[in-house]
Amino acid sequence: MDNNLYNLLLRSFDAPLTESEQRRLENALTSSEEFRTAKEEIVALRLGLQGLKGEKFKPFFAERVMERLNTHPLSMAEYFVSVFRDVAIGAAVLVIICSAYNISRENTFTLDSALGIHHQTLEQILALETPFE
Amino acid sequence: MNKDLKKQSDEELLRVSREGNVAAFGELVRRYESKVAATVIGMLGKCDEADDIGQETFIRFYHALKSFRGDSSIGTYITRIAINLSLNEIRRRERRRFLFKRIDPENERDEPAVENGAGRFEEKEIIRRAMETLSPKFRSVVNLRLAEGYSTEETAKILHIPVGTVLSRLQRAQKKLQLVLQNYKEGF
Repeated sequence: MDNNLYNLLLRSFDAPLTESEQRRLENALTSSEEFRTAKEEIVALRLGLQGLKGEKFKPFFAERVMERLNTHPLSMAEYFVSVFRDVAIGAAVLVIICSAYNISRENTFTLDSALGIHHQTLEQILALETPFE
Repeated sequence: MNKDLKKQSDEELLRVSREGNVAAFGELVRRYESKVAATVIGMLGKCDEADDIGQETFIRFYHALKSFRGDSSIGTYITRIAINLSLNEIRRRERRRFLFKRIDPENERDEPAVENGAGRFEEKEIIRRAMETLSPKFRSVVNLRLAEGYSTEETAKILHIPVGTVLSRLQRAQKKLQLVLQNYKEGF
């Protein structure tokens, strides 16, 4: 069977087809017994899948949910997530901007430069102390 | 009080729940229980974990009540939570299966399909088993679109994927399901 036509047949169940696609499909369905069987098989499969609908949880599901809500308040991790979720993106953007600024100032792309850490030599530290002598 | 809650709209229940009325939230749980059951059981099969994931779905929804802006309907929002939690559970199962396979390769054999009293394999169970052969991303599309009856656009919205991706996944999934079901029929 023509694979493109078969894909078109599958698509026809879930999306609108153009006029020419519709015509191709109708022609194929009229002329090919194999194609008609394929369509019946797809319909049967889809009906079978629809049959999976209507599953239920065990009885008293809502009561179990409410009991869990009443007896298990937010865990510490969940609490932090709920408190900081709103500011998380803003904070991340701020950190990125600060890191980018630090890197551009240092002109080197290292973790230390991103964090704005300066490694001072002993001479530099001593030089800093001179004015206080 | 309960009778009053039953008469209230979803929006009203949502508003009252946000104010801390737990009974109003309980009514929302009752209203959307079957929707969540269809999603979770469709993804995981009928098992104890499905019940737990169902409960977790509503607990997550409860904690997200204040941030829920109503851009999508409650049903779509809850289904999205249920799908994400189910996908996490499937990943957890796969990790566990992978670990056990490494420890005991004998455990690799497939479970037999369930037979009913008359010795016939129940069609529903066979379809469910066939669904389990699909990878999670295909299973979620088939479950939402074909089992639960969401439109193609709604399915795309729930899963945050383009409509074209939904259509191509549906095509591939149906082909695979037909192949698996054909093998079942020929095997039994």
